[in-house]
Amino acid sequence: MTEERFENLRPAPIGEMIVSATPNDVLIAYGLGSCVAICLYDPVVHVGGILHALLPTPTTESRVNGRPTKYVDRGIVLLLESLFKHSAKRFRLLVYLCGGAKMVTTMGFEDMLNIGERNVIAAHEVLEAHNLRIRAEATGGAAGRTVKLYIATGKVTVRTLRGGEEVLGS
Amino acid sequence: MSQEAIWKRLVVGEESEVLLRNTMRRVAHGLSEMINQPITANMPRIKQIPIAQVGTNAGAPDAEMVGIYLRIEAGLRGQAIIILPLTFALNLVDLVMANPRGSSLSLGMVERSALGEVGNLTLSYFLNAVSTLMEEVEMLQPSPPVVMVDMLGAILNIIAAPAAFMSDSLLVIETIFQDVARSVWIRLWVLPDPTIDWTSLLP
Repeated sequence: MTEERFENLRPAPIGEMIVSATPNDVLIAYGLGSCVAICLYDPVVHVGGILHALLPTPTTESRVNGRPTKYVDRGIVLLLESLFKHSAKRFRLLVYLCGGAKMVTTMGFEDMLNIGERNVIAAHEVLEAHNLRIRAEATGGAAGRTVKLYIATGKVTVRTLRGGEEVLGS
Repeated sequence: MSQEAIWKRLVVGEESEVLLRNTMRRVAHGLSEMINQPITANMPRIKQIPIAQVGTNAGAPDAEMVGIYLRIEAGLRGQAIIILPLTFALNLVDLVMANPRGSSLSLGMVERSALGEVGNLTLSYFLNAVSTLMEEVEMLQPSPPVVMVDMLGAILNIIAAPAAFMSDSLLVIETIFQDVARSVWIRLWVLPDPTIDWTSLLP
């Protein structure tokens, strides 16, 4: 019996988060480009969550009523709150960070070149501010990624089209 | 005419329907001439797509796709992305380069350049048609194209991220182009510039 045989894929759409304590659940963030996925997992109570954020932080021009989980800074706070409600403890959390690619490198598109990098920097800053150390990360580059978090084991995998699927942590 | 007024004419009301249908017919005609094959366009649809559904609205979000991205830089401020599966992109390259079908096996520099040209001409046909039909002569300048081959979700980040600063959803004019033999299938999305508050345009 393998964990994959009974896996129940639960996607975290762009700009949203998902939390689970169900062993058969596999949380998945599909097709990360400049977006980042912050994966948090408590290995004692087997609860985990993924935030699929696409922007680092709201700007002054942003509408105030936008979904907070589309932002790295606000989304991490909400993800932590949700995990704590599921009995996760901060000191036990395993943290993984993926995504933040530079999908466009063409001259003339400079303003969109660094959203991925800014997402990664924001994630580092917010996680550090919450005393959370990143265990492993797959960030930057120019390729899309799909990330899975297995609730039963805490395994995290990252897939790219060229490199296939690799285990980031377990 | 203001940006908002131009976009409103494009996406709201009965005039919009006629305008977009005629515009996309002209784009299809231009594409047909480019690849020397009859291409048809479906009825353009105005879609409001929640950011959370952008990755799944045009297919499986981790499927390998080709995206050709351009901005509209003069007159009408907006952006456009052409999305097509890799297989169709290779077929399209063969047609554009007048090669036997199946000649192109991967997307190197030459093939990407050919697809970029398809993107450039497609958006140019669109802009010329809109300009003529709306009697606005300025809207004629697409940016250089960016060709991406990657997961669909990752490609669509390019339009989702800038738009998400201002809204939780996208306004998209969607049209599908295909040939009779179904060797070519192209999804075209044309969107207002992310700085335009399109929510105020809709009734």
